[in-house]
Amino acid sequence: LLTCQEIVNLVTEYLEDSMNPQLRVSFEKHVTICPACRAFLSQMRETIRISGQIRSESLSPQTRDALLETFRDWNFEA
Amino acid sequence: MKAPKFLGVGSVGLFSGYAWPTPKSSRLGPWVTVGGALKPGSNGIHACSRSSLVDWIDDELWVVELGGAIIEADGLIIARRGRLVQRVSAWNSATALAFATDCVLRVRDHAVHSLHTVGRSQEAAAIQRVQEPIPLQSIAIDVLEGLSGKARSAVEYVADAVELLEGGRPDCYRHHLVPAAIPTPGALAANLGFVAAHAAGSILGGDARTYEEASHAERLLQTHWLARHLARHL
Repeated sequence: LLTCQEIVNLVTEYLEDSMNPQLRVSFEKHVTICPACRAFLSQMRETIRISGQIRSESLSPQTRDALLETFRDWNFEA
Repeated sequence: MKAPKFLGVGSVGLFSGYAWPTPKSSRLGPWVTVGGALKPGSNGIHACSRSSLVDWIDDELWVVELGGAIIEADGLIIARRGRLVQRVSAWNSATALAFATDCVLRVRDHAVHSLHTVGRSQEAAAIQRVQEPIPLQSIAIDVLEGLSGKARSAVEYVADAVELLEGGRPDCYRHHLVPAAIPTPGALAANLGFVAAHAAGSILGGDARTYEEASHAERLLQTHWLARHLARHL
């Protein structure tokens, strides 16, 4: 069975459906038996849902600047 | 074909997030159909075999009718379409908590066995006498004093299992932490089922093979428990 740390490491792959079926079933078996990972997966989904609703024009100038600053040096190739 | 299917509270799939349309009055639920290639864990109407129920425990248990193409993998049954036939009312909060409590008591039994093997019969008897989780944890914590090695680890599993049953985390009782949010009864049952299997493997097993054997034997006991309580409904 996967560990909680592995669930954290694999969650993006899981949500993007880029896992092989066997690993995906192992992932789901772990989440089923682990209340903390149930909460974690649910929070990740909710975060994606909410952040997907944010439009750039809805941000205050300060928030937009802070986000741009945060991601300015982000290495997207990593 | 018909097969069992666990869903979360409100008939919502734990992974799909899909709120299943439920049967109304005497009618079956409407068919739900998926397109594309069937893929375990990813695409298709998922149900499970009776022998794999323990791997997928959740708050609601339904009988689902499956149709169209059907594949089976890892104890899962994946179909092109499915509809809810009937909720298994015998699986409810009380049953889920009874299952979880039974798992805790079997962790206790494994610890009792471990204590006997190191000659700690008095401590074994003290733990074996208790049937209620909270007093069991108190006695397990008392008994921990003076234990070491595998026997200590076995008794720690008992205290941890009770803590999990109460919605806490294994380290809560050591630090007197109060659980932030208590999982649903279905989530607790799923968790304690795994914990009992892991504890059995760790306490009774010695290496990877014997761990697996003991863990598997515990899962079989759980499967039989579910069969005893639910078989006539499935």
